Amino acid sequence: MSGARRLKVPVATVAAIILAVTVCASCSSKTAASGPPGGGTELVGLLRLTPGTMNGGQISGTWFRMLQPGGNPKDGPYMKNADSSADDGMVTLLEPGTSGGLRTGGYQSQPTPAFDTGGNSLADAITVPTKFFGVKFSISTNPVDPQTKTPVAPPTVVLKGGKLTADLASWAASWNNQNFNQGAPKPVQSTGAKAPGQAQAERAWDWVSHRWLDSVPKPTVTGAGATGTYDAKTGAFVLQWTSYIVGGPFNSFTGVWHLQGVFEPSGRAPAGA
Amino acid sequence: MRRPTVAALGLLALGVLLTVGPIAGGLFAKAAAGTQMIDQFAPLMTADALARDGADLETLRNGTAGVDAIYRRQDIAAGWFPGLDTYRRQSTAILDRASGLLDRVRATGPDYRRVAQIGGFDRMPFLIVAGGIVSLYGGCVLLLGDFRRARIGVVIVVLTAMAIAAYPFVSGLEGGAPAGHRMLQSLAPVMTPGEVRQLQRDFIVIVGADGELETTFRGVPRSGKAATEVAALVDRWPTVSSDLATLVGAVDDNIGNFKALHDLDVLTSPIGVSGFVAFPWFLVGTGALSAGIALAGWPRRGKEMS
Repeated sequence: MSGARRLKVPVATVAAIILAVTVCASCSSKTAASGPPGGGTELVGLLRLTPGTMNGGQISGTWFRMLQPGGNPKDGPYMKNADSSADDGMVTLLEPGTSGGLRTGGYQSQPTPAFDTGGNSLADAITVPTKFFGVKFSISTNPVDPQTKTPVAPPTVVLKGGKLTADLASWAASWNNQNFNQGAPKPVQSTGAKAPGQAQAERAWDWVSHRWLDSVPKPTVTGAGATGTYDAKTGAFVLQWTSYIVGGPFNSFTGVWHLQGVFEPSGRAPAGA
Repeated sequence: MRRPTVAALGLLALGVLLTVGPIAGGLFAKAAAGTQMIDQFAPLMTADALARDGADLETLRNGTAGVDAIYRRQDIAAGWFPGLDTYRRQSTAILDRASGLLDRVRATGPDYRRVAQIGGFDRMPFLIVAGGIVSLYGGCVLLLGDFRRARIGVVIVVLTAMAIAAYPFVSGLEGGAPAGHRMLQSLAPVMTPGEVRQLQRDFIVIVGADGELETTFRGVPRSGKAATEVAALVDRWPTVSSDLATLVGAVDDNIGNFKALHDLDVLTSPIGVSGFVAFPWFLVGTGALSAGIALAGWPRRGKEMS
């Protein structure tokens, strides 16, 4: 009886502290801001891609180049894709996939399985799988980046003063049973070895420190996003960026991406689509 | 009313070492890195994967001979097929490197499998730290606790010490650790950033050459064995390319993990012993020492404690 009484006091104290801290934390939680941070208008809908073409030495539409280590995006040297005839293989032209292009505000995830038996990518929503050294590659956007295993935001494009800035961290290329994040900004790697329970402990600590210690969450992306232009009258857009390749057989190469097409506004896609 | 002070202080000192040592020495991260490397290499080390790698290499070798024969027969000048020219200049070195890598991976297979069978390798640091905490508890109750608590404390210390000493034999660490040392020695020449860069360069040269085989080189007349060998390479290319890309990717992704394991192995090099070889016996010794100290401090009523 006396033991039970002794227990009641500390239990009640702990419960009171937890209740008080929770109430305080709830009171101090901030209201989510509406609209993109930094102002501007978010373009939510479909970035319908124009197929890449090569006419008289001029490349237009949607295309990709792979820059060799030490090169620069303007002058190269580029990796020659023997399966492409554009610019002697220095450019790989891309065609819109079954969705017509890139959806912003939602994901266009990899199918399962992501590859056929030959290592060809089966993701066909954003772009048509395209041959690159004998094996087809393609693009998807996923809630968790397949290479870095880092949770990433869906593609977000913001228009401000006629210029576009975009968070395309989830832009993932798949080729030959391998995934390469080709986004901008780049997701940080979350694939390092962890002791048993470490990931859960880190998540719990992040939650606690964010909730009660007002600490800023660790950044999950690094570097600049994509940039481009937008014509509000016609909806014509251009987005371009470079993305360093980390890991795999093309480690230290850089992807140069150029998307061109027409923006079609629509509702936000359901989360996790 | 004398307490077993020496035994208590011994347990406290051992407890501090066992608790702080693995944390300060980064043992948790190193053991996790080792486990991750073993897991990520698993698909590459199967008999099926190794046989496929061998077949890939044979296809590449035959395809190279076929291309050489077609070049000679058709008197193809340098510059017509720059990708193939580059590959032909380097093919002997590239194929030798690939062959050397495959031989090395094959030779490492038995040791790799023994290491992979070690149970709970990444949980081992928890066991050591748990042993340290229990030793600290045992030391404290011997110094400060009453007779009953002190005896229970000693029993807990002895049981934990037995678990630590038994772990190498129960988990397979005793046999797996020397195999781990041999595995590290065997893979060390290829698990370096320089070697990985070379593998990546080789891969790029091969894909460049194959790209031409599938496109511009198709128009070159060919017949007989050479035609068959080149056709086989083109047909099998997706598999060859995928296997090569996977191998290069796995090696590249695990350079850091390999280094962590290597650091663990050289931890005891100042005393001339491999860390891996010494580790099981370190655990046995730690368990025996911990149990011995605890038993030496076994509380006796009326003599040492009330």
